[in-house]
Amino acid sequence: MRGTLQRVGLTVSVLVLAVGLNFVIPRLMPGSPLRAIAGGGDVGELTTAQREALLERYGLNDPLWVQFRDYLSGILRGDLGIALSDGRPVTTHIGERIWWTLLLVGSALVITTVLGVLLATVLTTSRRKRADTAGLSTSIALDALPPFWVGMLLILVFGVTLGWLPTFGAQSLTGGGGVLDIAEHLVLPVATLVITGLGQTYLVTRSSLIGVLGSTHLAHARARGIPERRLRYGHTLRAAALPIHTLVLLEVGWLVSGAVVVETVFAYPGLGRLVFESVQARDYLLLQGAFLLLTVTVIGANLIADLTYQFVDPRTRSSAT
Amino acid sequence: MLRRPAFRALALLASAALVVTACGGDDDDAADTPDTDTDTVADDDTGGEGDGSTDAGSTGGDAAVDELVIAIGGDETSLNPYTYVTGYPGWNLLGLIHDSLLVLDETNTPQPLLATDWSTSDDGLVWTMQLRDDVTWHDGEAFDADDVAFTFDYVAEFTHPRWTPGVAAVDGVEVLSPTEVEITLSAASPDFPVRPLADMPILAEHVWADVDDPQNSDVDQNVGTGPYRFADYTVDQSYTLEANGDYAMGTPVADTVVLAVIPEPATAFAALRAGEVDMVSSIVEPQLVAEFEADGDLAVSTGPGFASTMLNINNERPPFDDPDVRRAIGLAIDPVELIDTVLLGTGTAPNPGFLHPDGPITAAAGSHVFDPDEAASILDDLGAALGDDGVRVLDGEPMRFELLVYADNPSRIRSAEIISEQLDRIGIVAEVATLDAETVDEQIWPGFDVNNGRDYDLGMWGWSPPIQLDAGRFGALLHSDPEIGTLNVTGLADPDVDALVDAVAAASSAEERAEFVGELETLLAEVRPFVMLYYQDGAYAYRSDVFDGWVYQNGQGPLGKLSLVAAG
Amino acid sequence: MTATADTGAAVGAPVEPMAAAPGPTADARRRRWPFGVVGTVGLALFTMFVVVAVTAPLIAPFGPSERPGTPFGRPDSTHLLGTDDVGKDLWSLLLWGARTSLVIGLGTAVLAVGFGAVVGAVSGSRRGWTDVVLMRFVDVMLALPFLPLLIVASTFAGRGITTQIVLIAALTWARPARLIRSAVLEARSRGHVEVAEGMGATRTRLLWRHLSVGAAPLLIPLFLRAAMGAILLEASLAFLGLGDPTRASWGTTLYWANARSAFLTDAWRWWVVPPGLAISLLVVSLGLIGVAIERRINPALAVSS
Repeated sequence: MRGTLQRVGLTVSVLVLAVGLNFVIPRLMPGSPLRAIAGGGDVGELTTAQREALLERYGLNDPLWVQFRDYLSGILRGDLGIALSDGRPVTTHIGERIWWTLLLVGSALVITTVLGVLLATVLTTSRRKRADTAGLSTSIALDALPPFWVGMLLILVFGVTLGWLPTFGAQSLTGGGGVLDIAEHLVLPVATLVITGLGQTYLVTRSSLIGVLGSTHLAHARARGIPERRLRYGHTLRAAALPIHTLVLLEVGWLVSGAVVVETVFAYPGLGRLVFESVQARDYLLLQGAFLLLTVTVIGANLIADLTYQFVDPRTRSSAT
Repeated sequence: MLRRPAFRALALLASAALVVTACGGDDDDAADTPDTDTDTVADDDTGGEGDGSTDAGSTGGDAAVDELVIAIGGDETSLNPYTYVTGYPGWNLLGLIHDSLLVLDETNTPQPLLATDWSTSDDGLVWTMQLRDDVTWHDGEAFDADDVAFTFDYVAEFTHPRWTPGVAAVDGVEVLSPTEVEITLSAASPDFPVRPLADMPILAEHVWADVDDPQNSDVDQNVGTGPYRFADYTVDQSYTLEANGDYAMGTPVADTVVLAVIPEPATAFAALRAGEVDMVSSIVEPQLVAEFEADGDLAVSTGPGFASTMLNINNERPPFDDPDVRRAIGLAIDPVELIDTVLLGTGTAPNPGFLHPDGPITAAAGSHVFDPDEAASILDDLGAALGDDGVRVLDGEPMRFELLVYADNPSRIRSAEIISEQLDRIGIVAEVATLDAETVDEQIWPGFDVNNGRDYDLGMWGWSPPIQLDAGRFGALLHSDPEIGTLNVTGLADPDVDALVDAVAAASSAEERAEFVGELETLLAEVRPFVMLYYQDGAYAYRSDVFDGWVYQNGQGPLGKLSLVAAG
Repeated sequence: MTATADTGAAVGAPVEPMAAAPGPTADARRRRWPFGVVGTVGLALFTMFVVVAVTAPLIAPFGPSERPGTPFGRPDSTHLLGTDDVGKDLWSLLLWGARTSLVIGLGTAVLAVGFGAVVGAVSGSRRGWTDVVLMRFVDVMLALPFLPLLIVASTFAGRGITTQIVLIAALTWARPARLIRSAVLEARSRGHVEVAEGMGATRTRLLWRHLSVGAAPLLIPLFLRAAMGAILLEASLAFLGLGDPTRASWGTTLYWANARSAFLTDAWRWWVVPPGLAISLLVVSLGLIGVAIERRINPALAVSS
């Protein structure tokens, strides 16, 4: 219990550190948010006073520590400020995107994990070298394809040539928003993420399984006469659960950082795209907000990972301090 | 184009209804086809099999369309006059919702819009504008002269990056009657009709009067008098504009215009082919034009483009502070090779005097001189001998420079690579540094304020089309006084150039102005503050089976009011 | 020390009877293929890439920045794979690209996985405050936004190939660290390590034991993943406008293919497929070598046919 409290306390301090970095990093990028503030793509002919006034409105002329103080106190009040690009609250921006990202990346994550673990378990424990080698090579080869490449190819085949699926967007432009409509738009981007992400889950699962296959634990179980099938899917997989668990929780950060390349290729309105565009525009306030979400999620997921290790793999409990 | 059967049925119904309502008045569409300056190629209307080329209110040439989907590269936020994001296509799309007093035609000549007629006093200071009396705002309120006066005051008070500099010369706007205003300038300005009159939308006083933070205004402020009304907006996904049935200055050609946000051009073109969008706002790569033209349902609208591509030289930094060094660089560069390689010939050869040869204010376009031998001998005369590594050494410094280029601009990166080769041949090393756009801007144009100086050697650069229409902005590129030379990112400081820029600004007549502009163009070829490289031609792909009435506005492309409103 | 030997024997014995009678044929095969068929194929492929990378200046018909052809040329006898958008010979670019991609891929993987492995192993085997501090550091690294960091770092450090390797490694070592830690924890919990611990093995030895038993199988996929990730990242960064597209590599060739719309014409067959295939083959060759190594160090895998 004390360990858990300590762990939570530490997490909070890490959070503070990360929040500080999230404030600093966007401002270290060379460039100015002026164009994003002014709009119209055209800021050259403003006078110096006019520029200053635009920056002033967002407090961007204040000393950095004042800006940081405002940011921190805003976080405590649940107020992340307003986006420089259009003056709408940062939380609104994030709110609009997060569901699309959760839908896109979440679906991909579930499918990737289930499919990857399943394939790896079947092929690796089949004890046929050829199946193992083939599975490994295929997953690596698929993994080695650049996502924009796979995405474009899927668009051309299923969107243009066959015309089965829409080529872009998260829903139809007009009259969209139905479940089927959204699902239809989800197929190709999710497929891209699964194709290019499956290999990682496959590889990690496979290597964990191999570790287990070579362990005394399994030998003992086998010696006890446990049936091969149960051995394979029960014991082996359970023993390999820890790295898989870690991997999945590592991917949670992905859930809120979005998949910027796939979102770009498919014009999917996710958080990855939002962050990318905000980076380009130097929209400090929006970036701070998006990074805060990323930080909280990643650190939270890692906290959960640490706290749940013992449940995933009861054997670590004995040695946990 | 519409793949789903349910949609197709709906579309057929809708179009049937449309054909009934839209007939009459649209048969004079031929009048809108571009003149000899521009041409619309390959509208092979024979259709073809394909999926649904015969769909729905979309037969080529006939102006009525039920839904027209246009792909744009990024979100334009609430797309009102103070919040739209990009100069192109943002400003062009703004023109679908909002009207200015005048409008530029295909040849960029100002024509009546909200103003029916105008006259100027002899000294060029007082402009009297007659206004239409039959215009209403989208919310039903009537438009009148008060809105015009309000707009000038408002733009002067609340900084707008595009129009506030233009209205700075306005001393006052007096409402003579609901249909007449008198605008008084502090100095004569022959370009006044172009900017701001044909550029700045008129704001509705009853909508904007209480807005004191226009940069953060939203869709509620998107009330215009334009041919389409703002109907719906899904952030980062799409906009829906609906035809304004009461539009007095023409007939909207589409019932609904949908703007689809598609950041990746390749995806946008794939969607065009799949029939999910009907026009793509970004330029088609030249190697794809033939491909698209071969598709019976697609066509490409082409014409000159006023966007310039140039090599910026930091005139302040040695050795570029010596005009001879800049001249040598100019002579070593061969724009024809760039145009032939990077643009496959679809570009206009440069006028060393910046202005596009077909531009409306261009007076004396010269041509680029490519002469690497001469360049080498200039450098030899300066004492820049070749070092052991094949790089010239001038005043003890090797002539090794960094050439900045936006990492998100493929054709500029390719041009930079070729320029680097060309300079290499005369013993100058230009290392191409591809950096993200803001990082490049921060070095070439820190804080977008020339008062902050500049920190670069060479940089690939370009200016958007409007600068080609406006002698004032041309001067802003060149003047050494940062108050006037707000766009002088090369740091040029030449008294002769300054004097001519002042003369252009002071010119009271178009003829006088043209004379000074011409002298300025010629002088620039000598002074060489930058090296003009090319003006990429416009090529915009669209589905001719859906809508074929695109009008190419010279230098600016087909996207805008000219195409999407039929006369009468 | 005894632990591994014991493990090997213990695992080997009960598994043997299940294998489909390997007998003398397997022995003979092992003699003929010292690395196994899989390992030999992998090694051959990998060697080929290394040879190509080293000898690119000799075997490539044109230099990486030469523009000998017309833009968008189709394959012919001079240009086996046609030319790209500015007339560079795609076959030559493929050969030259092997250099950059190999260096970036392997360099990044060695750095990132190496550092990650050390941190993960130390963290997993020491536990206590070392573990806590290291893992919180990893947390911060994982939570840092990648894209802006890259812009910031490349602004200050430049965009040279070494810089890019160090940068990508610095930004990606945290994941391997965490995964290796969890594998070490897992291995630790298994009987034999506790036995060794009970027998009073030294700390360093324990560390190695943890690493070799628990994390070794994981190192291979992590290395593959890192190498692959770096090669692809180069392409993706260029796609997002954050890379250096003027460098000759497989990734940038793909970038240009996309930027100049090769996907929308039939040029994708000679412009997109070869570098894509090269990346896949290189990574697969690494994977096959990995499998072969695994099978050597883990007899349980080697016995079945």
